[in-house]
Amino acid sequence: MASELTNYLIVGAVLFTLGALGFLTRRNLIVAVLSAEMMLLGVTLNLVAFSYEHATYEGQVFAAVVLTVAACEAGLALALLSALYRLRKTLDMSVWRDLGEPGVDLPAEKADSAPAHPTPAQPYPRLTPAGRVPETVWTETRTHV
Amino acid sequence: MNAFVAWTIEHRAQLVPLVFGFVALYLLLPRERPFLRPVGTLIGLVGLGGLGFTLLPPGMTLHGILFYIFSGIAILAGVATVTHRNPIYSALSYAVVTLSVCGLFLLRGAQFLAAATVIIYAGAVVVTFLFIIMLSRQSGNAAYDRRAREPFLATLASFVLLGGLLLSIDQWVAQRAGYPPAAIPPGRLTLAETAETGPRSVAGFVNIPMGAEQHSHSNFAPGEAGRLRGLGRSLFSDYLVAVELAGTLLLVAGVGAVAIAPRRSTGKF
Repeated sequence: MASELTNYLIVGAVLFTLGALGFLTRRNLIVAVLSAEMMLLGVTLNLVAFSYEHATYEGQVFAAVVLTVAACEAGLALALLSALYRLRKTLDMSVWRDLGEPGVDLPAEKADSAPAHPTPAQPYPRLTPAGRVPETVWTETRTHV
Repeated sequence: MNAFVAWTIEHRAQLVPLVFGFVALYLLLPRERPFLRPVGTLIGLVGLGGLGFTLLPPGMTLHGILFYIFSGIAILAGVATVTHRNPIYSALSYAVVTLSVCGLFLLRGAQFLAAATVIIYAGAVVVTFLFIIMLSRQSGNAAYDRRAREPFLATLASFVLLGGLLLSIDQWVAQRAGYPPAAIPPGRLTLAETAETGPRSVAGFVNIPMGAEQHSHSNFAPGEAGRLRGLGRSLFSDYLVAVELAGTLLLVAGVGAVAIAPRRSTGKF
């Protein structure tokens, strides 16, 4: 007999997918970590539903382990996020697209003046070129609403 | 082509809510001009109702009504977590998701997990997230909160994933319905007997697992269906190594978090 197990599986699948969507699209690092936690919650719901269906404790034991791992993940992620925020003063995920090159300073995000588009390249003074023009990473700036 | 149409009609119960949900989430994701958000909300509610029809009706018992309430709140708050432009509201919606899923845990007889999840997630994790959000907060919404990255492709990918999951669950149910119930070896206690010999569990709505008569490997002792004692014994006898490993993992993660986190001497947060 098809029991209510499938209902719980479907809810778990929806939560997992929502978490995956948030992890893929959101650019705020904190929201991305929250979405990952939501994926874990969907998986835990599946484990608990199977534990009930099979009348065993294994599923709940697995779920407790998943809970522990999620707590560790949250703690480590928040420590990492605060360290990253200290470096660049932003939580934008796309700033960390390239994890730093030797000799290039990390561009700190400016507080004001929000252009909606990349700023045009600065006119360089006419000097004898002494090498190639360094590539600068354009970062989006924050605006006040 | 005819085969595709036939396949679509056959699986319309899954495909219609998927399409509605896809459109709704695409419209709801943060973007520069959020004019279509009310439309997205409406479409999403229609899709959620359609998803409710694909579920097997749990009946108009207390159990069934609570299931609908908890799962509906969980999904709605999950959508709010993913789509809200303000990360504080995202974190608070995530706390609501956690509480609703704890309600579902209670319905499935996992009281310990429900309590632990409330304490760990809603009590510790979400509060810490809120601290970080508020510490790193500037005035107004940041630009990266107002624009999603590749919203169309990401929504498409995640809904293809959801479609695969729903269809495979559907197929699995169809296959499973054909199996005869497994024979129970003599001498093993089935769960129905387990629940009969012992007192019913606390809240009254944790009833006998429905498919339990098909499974002969239940390790619920007499009278322990859905109670804490059996879980504790299972954790500290059969899965002692897992418990020890989880404790070690917590210790290592705590040491790592302290080592990674910025210190006051090297810079202000």
